[in-house]
Amino acid sequence: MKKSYLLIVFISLISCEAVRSQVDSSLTMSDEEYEVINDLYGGNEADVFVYFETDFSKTWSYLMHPRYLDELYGPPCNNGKEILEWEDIFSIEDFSKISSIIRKSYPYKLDKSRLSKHIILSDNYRQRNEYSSSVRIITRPIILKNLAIIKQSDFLNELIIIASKSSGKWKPICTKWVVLTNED
Amino acid sequence: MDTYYLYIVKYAPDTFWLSTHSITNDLGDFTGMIYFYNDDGIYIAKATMQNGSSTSSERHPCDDPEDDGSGSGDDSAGGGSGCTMTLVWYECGGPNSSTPHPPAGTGQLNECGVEGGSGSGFYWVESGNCVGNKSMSDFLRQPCQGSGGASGGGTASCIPDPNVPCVFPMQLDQNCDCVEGQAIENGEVGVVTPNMGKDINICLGNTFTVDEINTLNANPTIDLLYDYLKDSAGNCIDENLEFGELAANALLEGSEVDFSKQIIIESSIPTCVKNIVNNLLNENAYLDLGDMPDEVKQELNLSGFILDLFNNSDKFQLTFKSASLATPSGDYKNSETVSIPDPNNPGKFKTTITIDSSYITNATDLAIARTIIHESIHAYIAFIYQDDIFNDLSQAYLKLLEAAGYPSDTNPAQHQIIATNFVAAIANSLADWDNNSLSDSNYYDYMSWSGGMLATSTFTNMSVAFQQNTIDANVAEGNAGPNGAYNSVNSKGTKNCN
Repeated sequence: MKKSYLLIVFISLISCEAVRSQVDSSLTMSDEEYEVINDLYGGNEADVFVYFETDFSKTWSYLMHPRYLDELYGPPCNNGKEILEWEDIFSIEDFSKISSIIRKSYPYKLDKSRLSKHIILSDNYRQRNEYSSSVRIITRPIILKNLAIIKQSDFLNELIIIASKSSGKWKPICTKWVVLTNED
Repeated sequence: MDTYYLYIVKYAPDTFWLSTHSITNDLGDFTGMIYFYNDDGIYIAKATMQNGSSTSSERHPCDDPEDDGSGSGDDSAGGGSGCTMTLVWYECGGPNSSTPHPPAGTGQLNECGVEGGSGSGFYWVESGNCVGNKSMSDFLRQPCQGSGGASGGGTASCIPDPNVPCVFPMQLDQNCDCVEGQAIENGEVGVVTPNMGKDINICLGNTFTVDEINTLNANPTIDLLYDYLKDSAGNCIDENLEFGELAANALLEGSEVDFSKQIIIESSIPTCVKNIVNNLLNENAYLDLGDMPDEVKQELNLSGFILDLFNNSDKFQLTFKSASLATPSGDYKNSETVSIPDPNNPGKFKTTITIDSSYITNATDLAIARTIIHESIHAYIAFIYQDDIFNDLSQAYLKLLEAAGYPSDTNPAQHQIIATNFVAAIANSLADWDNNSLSDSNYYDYMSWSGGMLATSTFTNMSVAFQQNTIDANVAEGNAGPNGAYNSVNSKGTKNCN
């Protein structure tokens, strides 16, 4: 009696795990979303440690308004030559839509095979290169028109990046820090 | 020198009136009590005021045993008490003045010595309904002389000529002649303790409790805050209110404030480090940027002292503090510089330089001064990047961020910028701070390299000997953590912090 009970519990656990794995594997990000991540984090020679699963925090949805983004640290949005106004980037409706997407965010496992070789996935927040910051936890990029928005955090910093696609490559036009830390 | 007609007026406003008059330079509708004292601080009279009018008054009883305390003179045995004391609002340049207001904003002073506009004035004492009406000054200085009533006794007072108006600052003397105020030597006057905390609180929108105001009043540097917030005419200076509030809160927490640089040094910073910070703050030469390429200097528009930027910025506020920077995983760092949005002031940023407490215990003054300079440059780069994105330094920084896998950790990029552009300046500044006391000036060069700078390609491309000397110097002068104590034999800096 006791043995059969344990067997049922064991089978149930296996089944649940199988279902959960199915859910996770069914959640895949688009090629364009991987493109954003690869261009932002894997486009250079330096290796970048990224947490293996995306951040699904919701709080930053409340920052999705020009007024609040302007209050964060970081230079005004620009294309390298001139300052860009918010109305040239996202409309209030766009921000509202982004905010709604953030509130429904879910953790996605990043697929190593779809990432640049310079992006090293890690399940250890503390992994770091000498003198570089810890592993970065990134959100799933939200793509709207030819723009993408993503949040990144690590032990020292938290920032929101808005990138635009030009000449086939995603480049940041805005970086807004919730907190910026420099160490000795 | 004071004028002959010196007296002291105390306004004790009604609580409700005060709550509706946060800026009390206009007393035209004053409600409460007004007390008059002579220049010896002796009480003369008081009046109850209601919306700018005196509803009752009382005078200090004179020596005359029959004096009834009313009127403006001494009552004789057969005398009455017909005199009254009435307070009339005298608005400078107003309706009862012969001199109109100078236009506001022109810098011209009105007859009360206040710049332009309306609202300034004072209450004028009129005694009436008695024989020998007295001038205000005469009454206040000699309340027990003169006629007290229609049949009263005492020394008769003169009668001013009603056809010769006597307008402030001209005053009637004891003979009722209209003369300029006569100068006399300062006498023994009643000491009035200024309530600077209360005035500061009014400027800052009545944000502090009575206890906090008392704490502010007890702070030995409250006069600096008062002078920072109020101009010579006693008006609140609008553009200083924001930092003034930060400074008031800092003083309440026991911090020190440098008002000229708008920098707060928290109470957690020990005196020995405070001295280092103050020396760096107050000597423009210490951050010598002389070795920087001219084009960089011009582009950066630096005039000598980096931290002055924070004084000139209405967006950034710099604070120094000390705390443990040890991480839960047991890592140690000497210091950090954090920039965050100021939650109390949208659109403004707080940059805090934190010196690790174990570092302060372990390191020599030379190392601590170097670290403060190093962190100031972090603050400076963050400032410039925010303030002028198209500046050459910002663009160079941006390129480094991109090269490191933008948007990367800013540490490597900032340290590369410091290694490329600021290392000579750090060495020179440190040498200046140390009055070039070391016979081996190369030691300042070694000390100018620290922390993340040692991981830059600029450093690793230097000679092996230089790299080793730098590492040795950094170890000798001390670091954060349990094994970071300075080496008393090999270090060249003095050690004042324990």
